[in-house]
Amino acid sequence: MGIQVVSGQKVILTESLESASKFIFKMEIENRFKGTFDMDLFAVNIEKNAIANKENIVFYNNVKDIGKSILYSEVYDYEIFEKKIDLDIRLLPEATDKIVMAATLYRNLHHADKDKETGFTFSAVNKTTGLKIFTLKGSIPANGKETLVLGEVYRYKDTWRFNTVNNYSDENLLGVLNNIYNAKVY
Amino acid sequence: MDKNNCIKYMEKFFKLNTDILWLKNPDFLMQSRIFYYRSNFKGINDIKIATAKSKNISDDIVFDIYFIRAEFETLFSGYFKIVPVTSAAETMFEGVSKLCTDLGEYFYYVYQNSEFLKIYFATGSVENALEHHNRKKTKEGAFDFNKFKEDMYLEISSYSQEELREMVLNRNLTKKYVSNFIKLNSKCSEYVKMFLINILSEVYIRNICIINNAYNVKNYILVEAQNAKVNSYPKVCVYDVIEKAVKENALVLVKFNYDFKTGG
Repeated sequence: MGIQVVSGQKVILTESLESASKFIFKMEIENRFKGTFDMDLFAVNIEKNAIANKENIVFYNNVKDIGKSILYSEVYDYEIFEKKIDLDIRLLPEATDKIVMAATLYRNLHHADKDKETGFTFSAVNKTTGLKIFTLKGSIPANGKETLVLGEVYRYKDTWRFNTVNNYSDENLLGVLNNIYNAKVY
Repeated sequence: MDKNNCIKYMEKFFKLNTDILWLKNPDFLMQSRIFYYRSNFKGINDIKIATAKSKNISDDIVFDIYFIRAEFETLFSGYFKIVPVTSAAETMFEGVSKLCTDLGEYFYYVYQNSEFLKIYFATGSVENALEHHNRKKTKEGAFDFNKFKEDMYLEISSYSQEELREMVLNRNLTKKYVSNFIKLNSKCSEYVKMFLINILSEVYIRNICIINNAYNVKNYILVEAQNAKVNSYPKVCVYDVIEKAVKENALVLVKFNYDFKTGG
């Protein structure tokens, strides 16, 4: 089952540098508004000098980073939209400081749907053991807000961890990278 | 020739007539947002606002300008649709966008991309313009859409079902892809804006298939903030491809390239 996490909660992904390094991060969104609302999952590799190479921003349009350590896939089913990031920590470049996981929100809603909300889950599974590590559950107001920062994968000593953020922003993804992470895209 | 000169030439060779009473002096500098925000236009989805006719009647170049009521984020508040009425007008607009938001920018763009209009402005003769246009169209090395289509379909058929599923983005979410492209890119050029309006219009939406970079596809239209071009034929106008695709009910692959600079 894994644990249910809340904002600020940290989860250990790898106990040591020799631990299994492959993980699947999955976001599932209820298709409550019949395609007029969507969340797009982004994984952004921010380097130690606070820059992000645009080739290392992985999402539906750029489905792999340069080193193929982050791979993106998605499935649109009638009831659930599923967006997935496959991460192999061992393949990350040495310069990696953190991987920011965020979702941009898209709306083209009918007026009657504007006061509603829809649910999502974001979870991580250890690809080697098949065990679920954590789940983050939330709901999103259909109207307002541009970006949801889900969390960050980062290294602490010899371990890799996930820091749960679960914070909405009025800014788009570039604004979030710039103002929250002080990161520049090149 | 710059934009101002081009508009002077449009005024020299064409006359604009309108049936709309308050539009006393229609000109080739009109912008669609003027109509969009007028209260008496609020309930209208599309309306013919003007007809342009060549001043030399025997040249028989006639086209209508329609206002279409639609809105898309920062991209447009209403847009114009050019509808050629005579065959000479059809030739004049062959291979160029027929949708725009700013007539001044638009006719300068048409001038830059239509051999017909260049020769017509230079010589004042529709026969010369037609002859030049036809010669260019049939000369050796001219773009062959059928070959492009064949190459593209052959290329698509080399991928498995699973690979295609990974590569082709959801065809019901074209609006979302355009919206994200605008938000996460530097300001689009007028040329790209025009292409995005076309992608969103009912005319092309069935023929557009947006792909990602999962595989190394070669035959597609590449859209960047500053330009939209046919990847395998960079000198060919994108509308030469899309218009023929619509006529032949064919698909055209479109790939967006994000620069992740300040959104426009």
